[in-house]
Amino acid sequence: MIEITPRFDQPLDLPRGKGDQGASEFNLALEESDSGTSGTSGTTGTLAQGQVTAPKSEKRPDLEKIANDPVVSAEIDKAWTASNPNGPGAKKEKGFWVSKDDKTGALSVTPFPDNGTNDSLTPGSPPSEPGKKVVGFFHTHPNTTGEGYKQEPSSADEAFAKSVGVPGLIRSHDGMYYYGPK
Amino acid sequence: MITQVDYAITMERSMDTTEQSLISEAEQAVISRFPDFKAEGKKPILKDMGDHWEFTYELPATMLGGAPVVIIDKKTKSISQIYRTQ
Repeated sequence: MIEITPRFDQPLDLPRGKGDQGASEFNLALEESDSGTSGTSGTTGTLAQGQVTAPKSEKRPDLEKIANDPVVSAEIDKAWTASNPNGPGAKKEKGFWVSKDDKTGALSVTPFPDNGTNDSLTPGSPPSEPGKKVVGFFHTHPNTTGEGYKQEPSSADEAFAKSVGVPGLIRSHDGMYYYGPK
Repeated sequence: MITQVDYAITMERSMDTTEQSLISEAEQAVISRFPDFKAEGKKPILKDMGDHWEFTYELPATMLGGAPVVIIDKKTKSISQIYRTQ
Protein backbone atom coordinates (compact mmCIF):
# COMPACT_ATOMS: atom_id res chain seq x y z
CA MET A 1 0.00 0.00 0.00
CA ILE A 2 1.33 3.41 -0.92
CA GLU A 3 1.08 6.13 1.68
CA ILE A 4 0.40 9.53 0.17
CA THR A 5 1.88 12.50 1.96
CA PRO A 6 1.21 16.08 0.85
CA ARG A 7 4.32 18.12 0.21
CA PHE A 8 5.13 21.80 0.03
CA ASP A 9 1.97 22.55 1.95
CA GLN A 10 -0.15 22.06 -1.13
CA PRO A 11 -3.50 20.31 -0.94
CA LEU A 12 -3.70 17.06 -2.86
CA ASP A 13 -7.00 18.08 -4.32
CA LEU A 14 -6.22 21.29 -6.14
CA PRO A 15 -8.81 24.04 -6.10
CA ARG A 16 -11.18 23.55 -9.00
CA GLY A 17 -10.46 26.95 -10.46
CA LYS A 18 -6.73 26.39 -10.47
CA GLY A 19 -6.92 22.97 -12.01
CA ASP A 20 -9.27 24.15 -14.70
CA GLN A 21 -7.24 27.08 -15.92
CA GLY A 22 -7.83 26.01 -19.49
CA ALA A 23 -11.57 25.87 -19.04
CA SER A 24 -12.19 29.50 -19.90
CA GLU A 25 -10.52 29.24 -23.28
CA PHE A 26 -12.52 26.14 -24.13
CA ASN A 27 -15.74 27.72 -22.97
CA LEU A 28 -14.83 30.62 -25.21
CA ALA A 29 -14.26 28.17 -28.03
CA LEU A 30 -17.70 26.76 -27.41
CA GLU A 31 -19.24 30.19 -27.50
CA GLU A 32 -17.42 31.04 -30.71
CA SER A 33 -18.55 27.78 -32.22
CA ASP A 34 -22.12 28.34 -31.12
CA SER A 35 -22.16 31.84 -32.52
CA GLY A 36 -21.26 30.67 -35.99
CA THR A 37 -23.71 30.05 -38.78
CA SER A 38 -22.66 26.54 -39.60
CA GLY A 39 -25.13 24.73 -37.43
CA THR A 40 -23.39 23.32 -34.37
CA SER A 41 -25.42 22.96 -31.26
CA GLY A 42 -22.49 22.81 -28.87
CA THR A 43 -22.50 19.65 -26.83
CA THR A 44 -25.79 18.22 -27.97
CA GLY A 45 -24.30 16.18 -30.79
CA THR A 46 -26.65 17.54 -33.43
CA LEU A 47 -25.10 19.19 -36.43
CA ALA A 48 -27.71 20.46 -38.84
CA GLN A 49 -25.38 21.57 -41.60
CA GLY A 50 -22.39 19.27 -41.54
CA GLN A 51 -19.39 19.02 -39.29
CA VAL A 52 -18.15 22.27 -37.78
CA THR A 53 -14.45 22.87 -37.32
CA ALA A 54 -13.38 23.62 -33.76
CA PRO A 55 -12.02 27.17 -33.48
CA LYS A 56 -8.67 25.90 -32.20
CA SER A 57 -8.25 23.19 -34.83
CA GLU A 58 -5.64 23.24 -37.54
CA LYS A 59 -7.23 24.47 -40.79
CA ARG A 60 -7.37 21.50 -43.16
CA PRO A 61 -9.76 21.97 -46.11
CA ASP A 62 -8.88 18.49 -47.38
CA LEU A 63 -10.04 16.90 -44.13
CA GLU A 64 -13.05 19.19 -43.78
CA LYS A 65 -14.14 17.88 -47.18
CA ILE A 66 -13.85 14.30 -45.91
CA ALA A 67 -15.77 15.11 -42.73
CA ASN A 68 -18.58 16.69 -44.70
CA ASP A 69 -18.90 13.87 -47.21
CA PRO A 70 -22.49 12.61 -46.71
CA VAL A 71 -21.42 9.04 -45.94
CA VAL A 72 -18.64 10.03 -43.55
CA SER A 73 -20.64 12.79 -41.88
CA ALA A 74 -23.47 10.39 -41.12
CA GLU A 75 -20.99 7.91 -39.61
CA ILE A 76 -19.41 10.67 -37.54
CA ASP A 77 -22.80 11.57 -36.12
CA LYS A 78 -23.52 7.92 -35.42
CA ALA A 79 -20.17 7.38 -33.67
CA TRP A 80 -20.60 10.57 -31.66
CA THR A 81 -24.00 9.50 -30.39
CA ALA A 82 -22.71 5.98 -29.65
CA SER A 83 -19.89 7.40 -27.54
CA ASN A 84 -22.52 8.83 -25.15
CA PRO A 85 -20.96 12.32 -24.99
CA ASN A 86 -23.67 13.80 -22.78
CA GLY A 87 -24.31 10.86 -20.49
CA PRO A 88 -25.73 9.71 -18.25
CA GLY A 89 -23.72 6.54 -17.98
CA ALA A 90 -20.32 5.53 -19.24
CA LYS A 91 -18.71 7.29 -22.19
CA LYS A 92 -16.76 5.33 -24.77
CA GLU A 93 -14.51 6.48 -27.59
CA LYS A 94 -15.61 5.28 -31.03
CA GLY A 95 -13.94 5.54 -34.40
CA PHE A 96 -13.35 4.26 -37.90
CA TRP A 97 -10.99 4.28 -40.86
CA VAL A 98 -11.96 6.27 -43.97
CA SER A 99 -11.12 4.78 -47.37
CA LYS A 100 -11.41 6.20 -50.87
CA ASP A 101 -12.33 4.14 -53.92
CA ASP A 102 -9.59 4.46 -56.56
CA LYS A 103 -12.02 4.57 -59.47
CA THR A 104 -15.10 6.37 -58.22
CA GLY A 105 -13.56 8.48 -55.47
CA ALA A 106 -16.38 7.40 -53.17
CA LEU A 107 -15.59 7.36 -49.46
CA SER A 108 -16.44 4.47 -47.17
CA VAL A 109 -15.70 3.64 -43.54
CA THR A 110 -14.40 0.63 -41.63
CA PRO A 111 -15.27 0.72 -37.91
CA PHE A 112 -12.55 0.38 -35.28
CA PRO A 113 -12.86 -2.58 -32.91
CA ASP A 114 -15.29 -1.87 -30.10
CA ASN A 115 -12.56 -1.66 -27.46
CA GLY A 116 -12.72 1.98 -26.42
CA THR A 117 -12.71 3.36 -22.93
CA ASN A 118 -13.90 6.85 -22.05
CA ASP A 119 -10.49 8.25 -23.05
CA SER A 120 -8.65 5.71 -25.17
CA LEU A 121 -9.05 3.40 -28.12
CA THR A 122 -6.96 0.81 -30.00
CA PRO A 123 -7.79 0.98 -33.73
CA GLY A 124 -5.63 -1.92 -34.94
CA SER A 125 -4.09 -1.88 -38.40
CA PRO A 126 -5.55 0.12 -41.30
CA PRO A 127 -7.77 -1.98 -43.60
CA SER A 128 -6.24 -3.27 -46.80
CA GLU A 129 -8.88 -3.56 -49.49
CA PRO A 130 -8.12 -3.85 -53.21
CA GLY A 131 -9.10 -0.73 -55.14
CA LYS A 132 -9.32 1.40 -52.02
CA LYS A 133 -6.87 3.64 -50.24
CA VAL A 134 -7.08 4.68 -46.59
CA VAL A 135 -7.22 8.47 -46.50
CA GLY A 136 -7.79 9.09 -42.81
CA PHE A 137 -9.21 7.91 -39.53
CA PHE A 138 -11.78 9.32 -37.15
CA HIS A 139 -12.47 9.01 -33.45
CA THR A 140 -14.54 10.74 -30.80
CA HIS A 141 -13.54 12.76 -27.73
CA PRO A 142 -16.67 12.38 -25.61
CA ASN A 143 -15.37 13.91 -22.36
CA THR A 144 -16.03 17.55 -21.50
CA THR A 145 -13.85 20.40 -20.34
CA GLY A 146 -15.89 20.42 -17.16
CA GLU A 147 -14.71 16.89 -16.50
CA GLY A 148 -11.12 18.13 -16.74
CA TYR A 149 -10.47 17.09 -20.33
CA LYS A 150 -8.84 19.01 -23.16
CA GLN A 151 -10.72 18.65 -26.43
CA GLU A 152 -7.87 18.71 -28.95
CA PRO A 153 -5.74 15.76 -30.18
CA SER A 154 -3.51 14.23 -27.51
CA SER A 155 0.18 13.54 -28.07
CA ALA A 156 -0.75 9.86 -28.50
CA ASP A 157 -3.30 10.85 -31.17
CA GLU A 158 -0.62 12.81 -33.01
CA ALA A 159 1.92 9.99 -32.71
CA PHE A 160 -0.58 7.41 -33.99
CA ALA A 161 -1.41 9.49 -37.07
CA LYS A 162 2.28 9.85 -37.80
CA SER A 163 2.90 6.13 -37.39
CA VAL A 164 0.10 5.03 -39.75
CA GLY A 165 0.86 7.84 -42.18
CA VAL A 166 -2.67 9.18 -42.56
CA PRO A 167 -4.38 12.20 -40.99
CA GLY A 168 -6.86 12.09 -38.15
CA LEU A 169 -10.27 13.63 -37.57
CA ILE A 170 -11.82 14.08 -34.13
CA ARG A 171 -15.34 15.01 -33.10
CA SER A 172 -15.26 16.83 -29.77
CA HIS A 173 -17.62 18.96 -27.73
CA ASP A 174 -16.32 22.10 -29.43
CA GLY A 175 -16.38 20.78 -32.99
CA MET A 176 -14.08 18.90 -35.35
CA TYR A 177 -10.32 18.75 -34.96
CA TYR A 178 -8.03 17.87 -37.87
CA TYR A 179 -4.40 16.83 -37.54
CA GLY A 180 -1.63 14.62 -38.81
CA PRO A 181 0.24 14.01 -42.06
CA LYS A 182 -0.64 16.11 -45.11
CA MET B 1 5.78 3.94 -9.92
CA ILE B 2 8.16 6.54 -8.58
CA THR B 3 11.07 4.37 -9.61
CA GLN B 4 9.77 4.36 -13.16
CA VAL B 5 9.64 8.14 -13.16
CA ASP B 6 13.18 8.37 -11.91
CA TYR B 7 14.29 6.10 -14.73
CA ALA B 8 12.54 8.22 -17.35
CA ILE B 9 14.19 11.34 -16.04
CA THR B 10 17.68 9.95 -15.83
CA MET B 11 17.47 9.21 -19.54
CA GLU B 12 18.27 12.90 -19.99
CA ARG B 13 19.97 13.96 -16.77
CA SER B 14 19.88 13.39 -13.07
CA MET B 15 17.23 15.12 -11.05
CA ASP B 16 17.83 16.91 -7.81
CA THR B 17 15.87 16.17 -4.68
CA THR B 18 13.46 19.04 -5.21
CA GLU B 19 12.55 17.89 -8.69
CA GLN B 20 12.04 14.35 -7.52
CA SER B 21 9.75 15.64 -4.82
CA LEU B 22 7.78 17.61 -7.38
CA ILE B 23 7.35 14.50 -9.49
CA SER B 24 6.06 12.64 -6.51
CA GLU B 25 3.68 15.48 -5.81
CA ALA B 26 2.49 15.43 -9.43
CA GLU B 27 1.71 11.74 -9.15
CA GLN B 28 -0.17 12.35 -5.94
CA ALA B 29 -2.12 15.18 -7.54
CA VAL B 30 -3.15 12.84 -10.36
CA ILE B 31 -4.32 10.24 -7.86
CA SER B 32 -6.25 12.83 -5.94
CA ARG B 33 -7.79 14.73 -8.86
CA PHE B 34 -8.43 11.76 -11.15
CA PRO B 35 -8.93 8.75 -8.88
CA ASP B 36 -10.38 6.73 -11.76
CA PHE B 37 -7.16 6.99 -13.79
CA LYS B 38 -5.32 3.69 -14.16
CA ALA B 39 -1.58 4.05 -14.77
CA GLU B 40 -1.01 0.38 -15.55
CA GLY B 41 0.70 -0.10 -18.91
CA LYS B 42 1.41 3.61 -19.23
CA LYS B 43 4.90 5.01 -18.82
CA PRO B 44 5.24 8.12 -16.66
CA ILE B 45 7.37 10.75 -18.32
CA LEU B 46 8.61 14.23 -17.51
CA LYS B 47 9.33 16.77 -20.22
CA ASP B 48 11.41 19.91 -19.73
CA MET B 49 9.37 22.64 -21.42
CA GLY B 50 11.69 25.54 -20.60
CA ASP B 51 9.88 27.51 -17.94
CA HIS B 52 7.95 24.51 -16.69
CA TRP B 53 7.94 20.76 -16.41
CA GLU B 54 5.20 18.69 -17.98
CA PHE B 55 4.45 15.40 -16.24
CA THR B 56 2.25 12.89 -18.03
CA TYR B 57 1.95 9.23 -19.01
CA GLU B 58 2.89 7.79 -22.39
CA LEU B 59 0.41 5.41 -24.04
CA PRO B 60 1.43 2.39 -26.13
CA ALA B 61 2.10 3.40 -29.76
CA THR B 62 -0.90 1.39 -30.94
CA MET B 63 -3.35 3.44 -28.93
CA LEU B 64 -5.29 6.63 -29.40
CA GLY B 65 -6.14 8.47 -26.23
CA GLY B 66 -4.88 10.51 -23.39
CA ALA B 67 -3.72 10.73 -19.83
CA PRO B 68 -3.48 13.23 -17.00
CA VAL B 69 -1.06 16.11 -17.54
CA VAL B 70 0.46 18.05 -14.66
CA ILE B 71 2.21 21.35 -15.32
CA ILE B 72 4.86 22.25 -12.74
CA ASP B 73 6.10 25.83 -12.70
CA LYS B 74 9.88 25.96 -12.36
CA LYS B 75 9.99 29.31 -10.58
CA THR B 76 7.45 28.57 -7.91
CA LYS B 77 8.15 24.83 -7.94
CA SER B 78 4.46 24.18 -7.65
CA ILE B 79 1.69 22.68 -9.74
CA SER B 80 0.17 25.40 -11.89
CA GLN B 81 -2.23 23.29 -13.96
CA ILE B 82 -3.65 19.79 -14.08
CA TYR B 83 -5.90 18.38 -16.79
CA ARG B 84 -6.52 15.28 -18.88
CA THR B 85 -6.20 14.60 -22.56
CA GLN B 86 -8.34 12.08 -24.44
